Amino acid sequence: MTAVSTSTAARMPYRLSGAGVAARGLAYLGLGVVLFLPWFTTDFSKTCSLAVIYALMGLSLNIVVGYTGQLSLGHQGFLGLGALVTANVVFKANLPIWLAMTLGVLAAMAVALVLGLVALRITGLYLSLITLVFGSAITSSLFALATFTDNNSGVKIQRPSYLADNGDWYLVCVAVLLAVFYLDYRLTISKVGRALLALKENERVAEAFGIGVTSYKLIAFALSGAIAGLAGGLYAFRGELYSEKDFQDPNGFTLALLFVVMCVVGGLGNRLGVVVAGLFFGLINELLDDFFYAGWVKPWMHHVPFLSSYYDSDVKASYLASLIGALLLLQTLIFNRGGLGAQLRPLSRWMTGHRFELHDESDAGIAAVEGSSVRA
Amino acid sequence: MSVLDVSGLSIRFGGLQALDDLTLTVNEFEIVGLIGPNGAGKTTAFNCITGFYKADRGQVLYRGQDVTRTPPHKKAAMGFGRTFQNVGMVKSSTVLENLKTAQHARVQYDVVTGLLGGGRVATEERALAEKADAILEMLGLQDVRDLRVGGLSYGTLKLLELGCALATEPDVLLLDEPSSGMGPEESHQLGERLLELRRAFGLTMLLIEHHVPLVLSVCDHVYVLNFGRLLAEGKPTVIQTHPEVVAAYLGGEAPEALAETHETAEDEALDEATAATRKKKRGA
Repeated sequence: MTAVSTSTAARMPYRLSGAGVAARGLAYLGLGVVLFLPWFTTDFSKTCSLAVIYALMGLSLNIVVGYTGQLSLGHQGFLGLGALVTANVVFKANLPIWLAMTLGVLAAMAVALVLGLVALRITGLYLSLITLVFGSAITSSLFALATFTDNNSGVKIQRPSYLADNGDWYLVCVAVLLAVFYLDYRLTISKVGRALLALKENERVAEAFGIGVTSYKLIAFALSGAIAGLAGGLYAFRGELYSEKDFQDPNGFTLALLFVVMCVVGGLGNRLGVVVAGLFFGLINELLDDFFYAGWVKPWMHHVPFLSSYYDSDVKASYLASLIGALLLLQTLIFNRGGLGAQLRPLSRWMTGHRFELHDESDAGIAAVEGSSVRA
Repeated sequence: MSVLDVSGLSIRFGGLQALDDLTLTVNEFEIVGLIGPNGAGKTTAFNCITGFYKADRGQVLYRGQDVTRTPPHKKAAMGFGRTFQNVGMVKSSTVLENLKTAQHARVQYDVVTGLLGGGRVATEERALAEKADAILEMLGLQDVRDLRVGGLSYGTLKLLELGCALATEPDVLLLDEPSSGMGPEESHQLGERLLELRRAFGLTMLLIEHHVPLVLSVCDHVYVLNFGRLLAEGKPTVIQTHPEVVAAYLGGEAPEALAETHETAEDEALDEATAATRKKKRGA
């Protein structure tokens, strides 16, 4: 009986009133303004560019982990590859920036396809292990070749003059993020997203539905690699320097783990949550350092036990960020399996023109269902 | 014309000969039953026919075409619809999403077009949803349309799974225990429904089923498997009283029944002893 009554209520069309439209319009406007604000700054907009790049990496990894259910611990490899190819193409061939970034995307996509071929044969823990080794191996070998690193001094590249300002580059990053966000949305509402979700849960069921598991796994890896390669291009131009050290262990592995933590804290398979988590983790690294060294914090912080040792050692704030990541991961796994995305869902539903409801009965825990036990 | 022609199908798992020289034919618009005790190899036969397992030997012909080595997703696109022993659906998605997913092979737009979107994609997606709604209406399950599959009851799920199989627009439907988890009344309704589906969609079906009244009421022909081998085949009423079948189900040799049917023609086999067995089985 309850099922009947709730579903009829849910299917009753919710008509937006004029005020409702206005309120949502204002919300979007506010969001746009907030996104635009960093443009006025120089250093902060650079930090924000990094946050946007992390958000892109979140979306990239989310396709593989969240939608397809394959854990990858080597995504810093794709990010690095995108940066490497983009930077070197500009440095050596002096090609236009857009072409260089396209080449970076294609390179990362091609390598991701190779990793996808491995994923066809191996799944689960062993696949994670292979991606882990892949990330370490490619960053410590290919990335460190003297020809690609301008004899280990780092490849310096410059953005074209019309994008020289950090704020402008930040806007480019945001535009790319919005475009990828839209593509990701299209992915989930088209047959591709449905196919990935089906094969994630049960490959046999997917095949019975006529879904070619092989090709869709490859598609997932290729898309993920392409987005990571794009993020890599943005990354290279953000600092106007390609340095292999950014992607080599231990930095590289920290990054790879961070990307996974981002996806889980954001909510596996939840695009909005992953983006918000990505932005958060991208910002927190730099902001923590700024915070600790801020004039009004430092004298006060010296009196706080434990935290005061922060100034004596060479422990960077980014490690504190890792700690925060770990705590957030724990709280997500224990209390809130849907991640940030599930928490934001009432808001995102409201923004997309639905009624504001804290509970949505059709949406009881995406992450609560872990695979299924279908035998064939 | 036969829709499915399986000949000499064999598969071995280690020391177990799961299927041994299985030969069966399913004719157009027929509903064929595949029965047998637990572990007889019924589901294995399904998996070999649909391509989930690669048979060691044997051949599967679909409308005269050799499809022995065709992978399952291609078979689904060709018109093989199947259900699983315990529900094969995407549990974290909604019912509507599942019905759309099941129509995957019928979607015309390609991957890139789907990502970019556009009028054609939107039109087609709307058509998918309409088809899904039509199936739900036919099954009388409109109320669960937007609910997640994971939270639904088993009987509903079995019915929905049938709906998903129908959504793949099958030509031949392979149903693995469609009535499991249903009471006698529900499974009777299921029987009516299957006959109706055959009429409405011109379907051919092969079904694994334990529920004897259902087999009797819908099947045109029955194959009995035991230990991977074909034990008997024939009309359901004949199979029901077949001494070896009775023996396989009830255990032992059933020598009396065996002796009696050797003498009489199969069609006249309904003597008192087997009629009693029948009554007993129905009651159970």
